[in-house]
Amino acid sequence: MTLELHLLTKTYPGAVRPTVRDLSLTVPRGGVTALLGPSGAGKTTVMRMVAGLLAPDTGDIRLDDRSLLPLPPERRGVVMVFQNAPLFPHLTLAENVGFGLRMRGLPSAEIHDRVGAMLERVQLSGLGSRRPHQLSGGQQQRGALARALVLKPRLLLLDEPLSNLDAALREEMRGLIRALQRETGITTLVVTHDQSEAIVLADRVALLLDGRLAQEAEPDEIFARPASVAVARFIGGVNFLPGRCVQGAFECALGRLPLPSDASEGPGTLTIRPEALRLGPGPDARVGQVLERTFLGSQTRLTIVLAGQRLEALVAPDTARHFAPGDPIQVSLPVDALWVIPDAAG
Amino acid sequence: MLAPALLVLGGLFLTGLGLSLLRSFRYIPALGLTDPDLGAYAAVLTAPGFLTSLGLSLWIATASTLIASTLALGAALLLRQTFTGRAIISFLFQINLTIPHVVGAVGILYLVSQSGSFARLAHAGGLIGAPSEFPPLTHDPFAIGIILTYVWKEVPFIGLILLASLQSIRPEHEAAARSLGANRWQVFRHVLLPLLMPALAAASALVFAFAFGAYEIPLILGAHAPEALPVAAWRSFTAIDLATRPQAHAMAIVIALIGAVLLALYARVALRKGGRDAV
Repeated sequence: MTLELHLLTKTYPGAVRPTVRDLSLTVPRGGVTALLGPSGAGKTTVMRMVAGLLAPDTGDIRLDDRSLLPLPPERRGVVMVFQNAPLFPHLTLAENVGFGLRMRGLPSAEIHDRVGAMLERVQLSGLGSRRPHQLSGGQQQRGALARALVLKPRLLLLDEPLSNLDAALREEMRGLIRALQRETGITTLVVTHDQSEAIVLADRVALLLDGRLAQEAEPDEIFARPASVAVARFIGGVNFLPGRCVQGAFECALGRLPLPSDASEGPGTLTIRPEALRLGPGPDARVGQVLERTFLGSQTRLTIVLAGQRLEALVAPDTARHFAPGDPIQVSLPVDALWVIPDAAG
Repeated sequence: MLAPALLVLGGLFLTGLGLSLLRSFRYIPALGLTDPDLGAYAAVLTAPGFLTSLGLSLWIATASTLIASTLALGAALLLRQTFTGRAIISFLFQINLTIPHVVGAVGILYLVSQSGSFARLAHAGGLIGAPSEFPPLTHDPFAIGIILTYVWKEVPFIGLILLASLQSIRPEHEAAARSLGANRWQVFRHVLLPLLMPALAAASALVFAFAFGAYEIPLILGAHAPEALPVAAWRSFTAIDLATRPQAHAMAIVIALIGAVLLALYARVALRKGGRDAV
């Protein structure tokens, strides 16, 4: 099933600005698209509109070219897995997983079989008679996923599916979601504020900023080629140099930097991800000064001043140990890591 | 921290109950009764009007509780919605919590008795030939006036408890149920109602116990015969003949016992039903 959102707009009563503005997006059949954005960007509002729990002010939502708007939530074939309320507290796990099947009036024997098979698939066999409070957070999330997938929905909506889990469980759950999605081929839309979650879970990422679609692309493209400074900042970009593209090079405070061949002419902002900066001697190395060194665990952040411009580099702690604040440092900006955002893109 | 409160409450309650129990066994030294026996119980349980009075009391308590619970549930579900004027309606909904039962009973008497406002209005409007043709809603065999008073008074009580309970239910549960294919009725039936059942059972059990055991409203609005069990107990207790005093205590103990047993059964059935019916 292909999901198409066409110019969706939603303003909540009393709000001065729309929460979602003119959002158009296509979620390809059988794929996983992550709706990524900060809190308040309108992600969950989009999900609720698709699920039928909220009506858009304008626009259309189409599933395989048929509008969902006239249909109530229970007849859309769209199942949403919620972030905060995974399972009904008054039902056992098996009753939870069988809830949707029972609402559809399926025979008890079929419900029993399908629930059993699904519980086995999500590795919860033997726990069917437990109530949610007797399950761990990870088991509850898997139960909620099973409750949705057992219905074989046309479209699956996952609202921050990993946000309440600790690091180890997140990894396990990510793997399970990916595996189940591949097995079933159900078109899936995932809402998340976590870039790493979006990258791992999704084939495509739609970045929502301030209610608008800021960029929609494959995850690596968003990281390598952000469409705007706002997008670059959201995905962790910190190095921005204003300047101008002239004949295949970028003229800025650092001088004339050669660019990849597809850079367009005109004023813009050059960006390079902090992990792409190369430190140490090199043919194009420039000399700057270390301003600050911050240990972040698996990486260390070095704040460097280069020709009056402040840049940040993320390097391995072993490498960073050689540089202390005030030390001179040689920095290279690899051509293939440079990306220019035209000024018109903001 | 709780000890002083428990001491006062427990002390007063248990002392009162103990004294009543002793007197129900015909042990009242002041009256010269010093050999306890079950005579008062035998007299109460074999009295000709006992079963009728018990039936009337059960009818009043059951009907009041069912009607009040149903209306309160509907009101709570409406009041949790956001709409213009909600604050005013919510205030009006709660206002009669502050009015005593007896005042409410007198109000009902003035409104719905055959000499009350509704009867006179119906007569003035030409709906009935005389106020006395107005259907008897007070001092009537079906205890309609009594039930009306309890419903009027207890709907906001149960409603407030249900509203508080509704606020603790995450709205995502209802949304998830819709998304899983439940229509509005199924969401209510299989998600909201079971989640509300503990609060509903507790609140309606309190109302049942009160309506079964209280005498004031049946005394004001009830028929002379049959009379509700607590009214019969009160009449025995206040009779000039002190020899009926042990029977009054025996009747009070019987009311307390029946109430406690029914409450325990009701709570058990309601809670179990809530869980089992969920799917």
